Amino acid sequence: MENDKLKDDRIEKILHLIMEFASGNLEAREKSSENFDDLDGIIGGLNMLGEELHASTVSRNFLNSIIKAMADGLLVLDIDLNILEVNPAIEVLLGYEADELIGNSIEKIFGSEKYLFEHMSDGKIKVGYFAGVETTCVSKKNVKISVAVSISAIRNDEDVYEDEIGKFIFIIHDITESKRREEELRIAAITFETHEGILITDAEAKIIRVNKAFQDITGYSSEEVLGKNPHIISSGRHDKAFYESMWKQLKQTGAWDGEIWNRRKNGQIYPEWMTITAIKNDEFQHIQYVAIFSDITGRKQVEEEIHNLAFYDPLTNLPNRRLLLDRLHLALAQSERTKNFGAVMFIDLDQFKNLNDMMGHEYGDLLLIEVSKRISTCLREMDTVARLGGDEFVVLIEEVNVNQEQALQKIALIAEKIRSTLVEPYNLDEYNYYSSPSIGVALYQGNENSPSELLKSADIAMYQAKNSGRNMVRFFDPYMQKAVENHATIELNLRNAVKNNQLKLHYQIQVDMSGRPVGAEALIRWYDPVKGIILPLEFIPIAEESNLILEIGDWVIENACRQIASWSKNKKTRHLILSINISARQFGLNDFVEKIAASIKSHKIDPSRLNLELTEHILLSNVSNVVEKMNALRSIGIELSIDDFGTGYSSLSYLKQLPINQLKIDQSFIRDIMTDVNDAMMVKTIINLGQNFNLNVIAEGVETEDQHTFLLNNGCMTSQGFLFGKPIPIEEFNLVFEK
Amino acid sequence: MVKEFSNENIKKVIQTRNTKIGLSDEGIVMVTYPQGIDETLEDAEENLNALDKICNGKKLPIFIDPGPHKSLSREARIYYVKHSPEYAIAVAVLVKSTFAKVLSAFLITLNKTINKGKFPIQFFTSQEKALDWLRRING
Repeated sequence: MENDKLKDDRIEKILHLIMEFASGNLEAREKSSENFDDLDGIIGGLNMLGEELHASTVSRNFLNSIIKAMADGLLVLDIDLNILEVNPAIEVLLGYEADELIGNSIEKIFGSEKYLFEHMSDGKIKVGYFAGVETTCVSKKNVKISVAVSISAIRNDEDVYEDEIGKFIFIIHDITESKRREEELRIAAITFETHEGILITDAEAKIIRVNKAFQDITGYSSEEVLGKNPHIISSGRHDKAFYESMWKQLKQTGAWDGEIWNRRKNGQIYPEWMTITAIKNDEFQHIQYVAIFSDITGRKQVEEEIHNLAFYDPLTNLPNRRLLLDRLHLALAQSERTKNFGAVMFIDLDQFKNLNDMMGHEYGDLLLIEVSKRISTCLREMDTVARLGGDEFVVLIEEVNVNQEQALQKIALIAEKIRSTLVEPYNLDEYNYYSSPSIGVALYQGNENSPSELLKSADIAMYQAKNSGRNMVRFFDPYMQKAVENHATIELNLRNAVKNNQLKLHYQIQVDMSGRPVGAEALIRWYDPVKGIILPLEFIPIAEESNLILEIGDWVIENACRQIASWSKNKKTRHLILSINISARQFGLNDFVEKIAASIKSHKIDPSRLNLELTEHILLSNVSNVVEKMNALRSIGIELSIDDFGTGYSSLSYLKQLPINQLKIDQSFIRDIMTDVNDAMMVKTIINLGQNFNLNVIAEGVETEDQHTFLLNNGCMTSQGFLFGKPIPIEEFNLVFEK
Repeated sequence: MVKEFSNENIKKVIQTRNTKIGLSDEGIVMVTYPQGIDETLEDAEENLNALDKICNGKKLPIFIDPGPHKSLSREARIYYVKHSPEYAIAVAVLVKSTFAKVLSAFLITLNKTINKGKFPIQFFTSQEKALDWLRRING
């Protein structure tokens, strides 16, 4: 009974297991008995069967999950390349539903892609091996998609041990994006190797990459610049502020472009047009800078040529009318600010047409080139000489002087210099040629006249010069013309005056505190046969502008020494000291000391009877040289005075260095000494100064007793002025002593 | 009933929790199980460790008498089939019970899957025939 029950229980267990498996519960299990008979064997077998089925199901489900989760497309094909299975990724990739693909030939997706099928047909693919192919497939919407296909083969039946292919597995990876990136990289690589130089730095401005064009342009190899600062190619032409501004803009806007001068490895400086762009990360921080530049040397040259064509005369390389007018505008504006006079000169070559007609334009051109060079040599760097066309030149002379008279004389001198330079003979291709200019001058001050008005005035003046016989300078303003003519006349006459003995010395007495004569000042007078006596103020400035002043100076020294020699023979006059004025130009001569010494020696006079009056202007030149000369003069025994003291630029430190004997108070201080407190104070100060430096002090221009008393009361022991005697000829002067 | 090992023909014997493993004079490893065990992966690992010691670096023919098992877990079955080629040149299994017959079917399938069917496992209803087969293989 018990055995039957045990048997029934186990049959029940077997049925239960079968039913559980049938219903899908593959995890159902039953325990066998201790009989170990057939029924227990069947229960054990069913348990194992359940285990295998469960494991197989789990494995298949897992595999299906993987296949469904795959981002890559999966195709299972039979050996005739018909599609058996697809995964969802292939549906997404191609846009087909699974049932639109299953049962169809692979050609539906790949067309008749030969390369792909060669792999599968010629035995390259074997069971257990893979082949990778890059190709394109076509979507449902007929879009070509770049894909990488991994092909493998499996057996149809795992029980078949031979390598007979049963199915093909295609795993299809969409490589459209990576292809696009590759293409972008390829394009970037091609772009990087463009003809423009490219330099990439990190955020700290260290060079991390350069292209070949960079190396070609700069001459630096990649190895030489990597890791370095771009400063390595900077030219030094731009200041710190330039680079600060560049970096400021880069940091603010992320970009900069502009012209910049850099230096090649061989040291050559060249212009570049550079664009710098900042590369930012996701946090908008600058992580790299890309500089793209092109060498614009050629472009600059073309620009310069265009500029030259626009603003310069191609024959002479002088500025043309346009540039002249531009500069004239600026000059007038400048004059308006400074009130300095300037001038426009219109220069036309006389009879130029004849040269062209007779010798041809080639010779005319040669003359114009030479004329342009000669005019330039007469001018300062800041002046402009322009060619308007033909034989017309215009000179612009800027910022001459605020004083009209002085400006006029300087400009007249320049004009005359140009005229005289242009009349020198020309050697035109071995032919000697003589030319002359007619020069018209118009002065300006401020911007009251427009540039065209000034040019017109100078042009009119130039025609006046032509009409007056050519080869001359004419001023547009009649007053100025007269002034220039006077000046020229005086200079000419003065030259003759020296030759014709028309210069005379007048002597003005100098007295001590008791009124006794102690000396005289020799003052030059010009006895013109027509105008009578001309005072030095009228002709000395003109003499100063030419070398005449030197000639006159020599004449004065010679006559002064002769007079001292004459006085030395008379008991009443031998003590007199004769003062003469020395010009700065004369004092500046290298042999000045020797000349004085020679004159003293030739007249055999006591050098202490000669007093040289030097103005403070002399001290404006090389002080040590001046002191050296003064010491030489003092060593001879000559007396030295500073004339017009108080009106110049003397400083106490200079005064201390100078080996002088006397200070001469300028008459402008003496004139108002009794009415102007400041002048009185100035005179007292100079007298004190002289006493402190142990110098004699003499006052000039003393005309009243009050003035003399004031001077005496304040310690000035020597005086000169109308109160004691006017400058008079030597004959009259000597009479004073005979009485 | 499997013959018990005798001292005369068995040189070396190791007793595990549920198995006795010995090496015969002929160089055949003899594995016998007691009645009614539920064999797990842990048991299988212990048994192959013992087998490793018995073989001492050599591959030997193995005779197994599974006896009247209650069960042999799937993990243990796979473990045995997978690692047997490391110790054995061939395995002969004595099939006497219904459970042993059913088990042999599973082991044959596993051997095909895991060892591509190339490892020689044979099932015999006679111990003598099984040992003869092993002797032939052992040469």
